[in-house]
Amino acid sequence: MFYNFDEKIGNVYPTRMALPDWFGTLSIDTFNRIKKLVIVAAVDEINVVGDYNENDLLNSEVYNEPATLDYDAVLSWANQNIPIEEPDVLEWMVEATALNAYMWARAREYARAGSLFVAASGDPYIPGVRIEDLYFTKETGNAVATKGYCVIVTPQGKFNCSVPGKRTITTKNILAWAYSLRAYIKQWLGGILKFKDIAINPSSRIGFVNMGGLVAPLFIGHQPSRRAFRNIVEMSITTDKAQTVTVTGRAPTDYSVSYFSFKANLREGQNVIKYKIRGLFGVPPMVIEIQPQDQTKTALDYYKVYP
Amino acid sequence: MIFGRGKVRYNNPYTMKDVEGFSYLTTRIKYPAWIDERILSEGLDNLDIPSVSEFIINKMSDVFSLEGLLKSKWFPDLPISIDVKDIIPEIRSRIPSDGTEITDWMHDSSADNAILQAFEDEYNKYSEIRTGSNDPASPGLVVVNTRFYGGQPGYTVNSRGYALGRAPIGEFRAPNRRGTILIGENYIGWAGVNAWGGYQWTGKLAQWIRLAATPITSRIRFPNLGFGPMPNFFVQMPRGATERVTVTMAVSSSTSQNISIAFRDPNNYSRVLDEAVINVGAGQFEIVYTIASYPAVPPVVVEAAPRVNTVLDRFVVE
Repeated sequence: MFYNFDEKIGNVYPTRMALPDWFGTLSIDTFNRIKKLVIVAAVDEINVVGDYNENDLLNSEVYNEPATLDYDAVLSWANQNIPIEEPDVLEWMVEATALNAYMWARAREYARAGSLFVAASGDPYIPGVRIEDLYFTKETGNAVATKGYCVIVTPQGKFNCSVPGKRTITTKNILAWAYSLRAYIKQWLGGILKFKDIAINPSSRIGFVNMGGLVAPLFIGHQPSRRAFRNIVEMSITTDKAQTVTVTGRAPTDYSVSYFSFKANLREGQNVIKYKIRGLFGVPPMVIEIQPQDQTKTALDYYKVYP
Repeated sequence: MIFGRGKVRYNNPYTMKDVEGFSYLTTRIKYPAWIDERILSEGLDNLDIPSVSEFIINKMSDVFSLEGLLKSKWFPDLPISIDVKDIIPEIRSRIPSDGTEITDWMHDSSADNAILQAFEDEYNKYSEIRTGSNDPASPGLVVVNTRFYGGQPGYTVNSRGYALGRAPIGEFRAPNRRGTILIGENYIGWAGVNAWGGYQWTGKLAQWIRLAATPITSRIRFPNLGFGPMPNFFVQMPRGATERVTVTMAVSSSTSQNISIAFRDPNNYSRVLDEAVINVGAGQFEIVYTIASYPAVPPVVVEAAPRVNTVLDRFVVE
C-alpha cells in the first residue's frame, strides 16, 4: 500500500489517501492521461430498499450519549447530564459537549471503516479551538457576530466562515470543514473537522456530522480493484427525509480538482444509488465528496466499486 | 519490521486497528535507505550503551535562555514561555473571569494550548506530534486517538486520585496533578491531569505521530503544564551504517536537576534497552556518549524526562 501524499509537505500535514498497488505501476504519462477525461454519464438508478433507521451507529465512547443522528437528542442528553447548576459550568459548555459528542461518535464510525478524521468543537475565543495546524483566530463572539464571519487559519491560507454557517475547506492536499453555530458576548461556538486518512470503499455505516442542523460533507475513497475503463458504483445512503445530495469526484493528486459532480434526489429511507464512472484512459482512484442538505439526518451505509 | 517502499520506509504502518477494530495512527520512525532488518535485529541485540559514568558532561554556559524558541501563533503578543505559570496571570488579566461566560479553568487551558502550540511548531519542524488541553468533563478532550472519558467531574478525579481515559493501547489511569507516559509497541502518548475541588478540571494530552530524528539543530522546549516538564521522544539516528557513533545532546536547564534518559527499542517502544540518570546544573550543557554495535548501530528511541524547566538545544549523532 502507498499513499497519494507524504505525511508532511513543507509545513502542511495533508489529508492522505491510500492508493492501490496497480495504480503505482502506471507510468507518469499514463497517469497524466488517466487523470483527465473521467466522467459520470448519469445516475442509473435510485431504489428505496428500507426505512430510515439508526442501526449500527456508535456513540462517542467519550460520553455515554445515545448513538443517534438526532442532534437534538444528543443536546437533550447533554442538558440532562452536564450539571449547569455547578458554579464553573456555563451554558456554552453544555452545547459544546453535545457538539463534541456528536462529532466524535461519527469519528469512531469513520475509524471503524478503517480511517481517521480529527475534530473538536468549543469556544474559539477562550480556551480556543484548534485541530492540528488548523485553528480559529481568537475573536470574541460579539466581534464575529458583528462582522458576520469568523476566520480559520490553515497552512495554506485563511478561510472565512459565516456566523452562523459552515465552510468546506478543499485545497490541493487538505480536506476539512469548519462551522460556527452561535455567538454570545465573549464566547461563541465553533468547530473544525480535518480528514487525516480517507476511508476506502467503506463497508460499515458512517453518519454525517450534523452540528445543530449544519451538515458536513463526508469524504471517502473510491478505489477500483484494478484498472478498468468503466467502474460501476453502488452506494447506500439512509436519510430521515427526502433531500438532494451532491456527489463530487475529486482528483487524488489535487483535491481542488473535481472530475465530476452530480446531484441525486433521495427519498426518505435507505436509498441504493447506482452509477457508472467512465475514464477514457481508465478510471483512477479518487476522493468522493458526498454533501447532504442541512437539517437532515443522513448516513452512508456502504460504498462499493466494481471492479 | 520495515514498512513502505523505495525511499519512504517506516518502522510501523501509517494506521493499524486496535483490539476493538478501530483504526488509529501509529507512532512512526522514518528509516533511511541504509537500515535493513539485520541492523534492526542483530544491531539491537549487540547494542553497547555506556554506563552513565562514561557519559561526558560539558558545561557550555551559565545562562538559561529562551532565545530561539517560537511564539504561539494564537497569542503572538505573549512573551515566549515554557511554563504555564509564567503566562496564566497575563491571560487572566486580558480576559478576566466573569462568572457567566469566562471561568478560571479556561485561562489554565488557554495557557496550556498557547505553549503546546508553539511546542508543536518546534517539534514538528522534524516530525509530527499533536497535543491539546481542555476540560475533559465538558466540553471534552480528544487528541487524535487519545482521549479522556467525559463524565468525570474534577472533584471525583481529585478525590480518587486519577482520571480515566482511552488510547490505542487500551484504557489508562492518569494520576492527578502529574503527567503519565502512555506507551505501547507502536504507540506513544502522554496524559496530564490537573483537578481540584470543582466540576471543571484541565486535562492535557499528546500523541506522537512521527518521532523527530537526529540531527536536531533547532531548539525544542519541554512544555511545563503546571506539574513539571512533559517528557519528549526523539530518534537517535546514525547518518549511515557504522559500528560506532558519538552522540551529543545539548540541553539548557533552569536549575540543577537530574534528567532521566531511557533508550527504547524502535521495533517495540515499550521495551526499554537501557536507562540513565544524568545530573546537570543550571545553564547550558552538552551530554556526550559513545554507542557501539555490530553489524551497525541501529536507530534507538531516546526518551528524555527532565524535572525542571528545560530546552533541548541540539541533538546530533556523528
